[in-house]
Amino acid sequence: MTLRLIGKVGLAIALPLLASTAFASGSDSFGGQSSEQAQYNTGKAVYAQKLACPSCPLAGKTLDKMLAEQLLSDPSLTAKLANDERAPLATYLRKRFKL
Amino acid sequence: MKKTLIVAIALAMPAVAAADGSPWLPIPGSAQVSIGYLQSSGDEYDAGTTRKMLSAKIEQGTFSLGLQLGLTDQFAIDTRFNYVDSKFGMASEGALSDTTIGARWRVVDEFEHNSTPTVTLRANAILNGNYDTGRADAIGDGGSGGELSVLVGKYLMPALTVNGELGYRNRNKMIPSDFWGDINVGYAVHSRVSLTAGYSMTRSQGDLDIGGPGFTPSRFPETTEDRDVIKVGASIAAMSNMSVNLNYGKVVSGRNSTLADLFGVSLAASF
Repeated sequence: MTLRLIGKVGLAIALPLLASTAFASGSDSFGGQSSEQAQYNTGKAVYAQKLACPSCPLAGKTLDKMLAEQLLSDPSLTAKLANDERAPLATYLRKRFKL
Repeated sequence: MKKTLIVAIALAMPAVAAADGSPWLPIPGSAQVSIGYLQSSGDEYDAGTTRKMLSAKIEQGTFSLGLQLGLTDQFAIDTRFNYVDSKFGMASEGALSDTTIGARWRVVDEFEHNSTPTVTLRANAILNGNYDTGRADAIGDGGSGGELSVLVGKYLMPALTVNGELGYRNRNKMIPSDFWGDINVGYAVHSRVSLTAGYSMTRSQGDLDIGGPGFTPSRFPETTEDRDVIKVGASIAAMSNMSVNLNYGKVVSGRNSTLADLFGVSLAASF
């Protein structure tokens, strides 16, 4: 239940701070990454963990430009994703394959 | 008073800048620009391992400008410039601090090998700034050099991550080399808000303490500077390509180091 709640709540933006709140390389330096960058990383995680995992619908398929276009244009392929999972996935696919 | 000012040279929290230490690289073909301000202040310090009070608070404000370029899916470069305004009692200085130029190479992608974390190698060049050393309001140690580190991260779920870094830094001018480690946990609590918490440590390879055997004021950059820092942060997506990042950190223990509070705010945008 807890895992499901986390998945529902937090996916449209993926932890822009992550490592970047670190004092990078041991110095006093707070960084930060853009929301688009965060969405891109989350989109990768959504694809890998929700669509391409061994028990997922796209297991074993190679993600290329053609498959990315299908994922963006065919809602049935992403029907099991939550709304806040589709946005980062779309950001990832569009940026990765320049769609 | 003179003794206190001398101590401040070593306690001025050297602002060796570094770009973001994330194992996850920028979007291929994109540029990310960040501007930030970090306020650090403290009135306690550890001389060697003995905790003492300063006669006045040391305050430093660091303005930073960073640029990252994602060259490919596996390779990125970055740089960061800093300007530091330092105050301690009646003494003050404002100058360009150290600049870093770095490259990251992702050698393992967790999204291609589900059972592994993402592993990225990093190399950084450090170019010393134009600040003065050997004076009370010195901004840093004044050395140039390089850093090597390994960054590891894993998306445990799309909204929950853990990552860390282990690195080694070496600079010229007799500044002791040091190792650092860093670990962070991040969690997206809302579609536009995420939180992080972490811990970082630095361990110098030197053996010279402030006021210890062999110490002279001219050797401040050679002193051993260890630090343990806890930190929390929040990030808010202000626009589709821009976020506002708020951070707080505290130096909880150290050696020849100020026990500082650190407040940071930054804007990061990608194009």
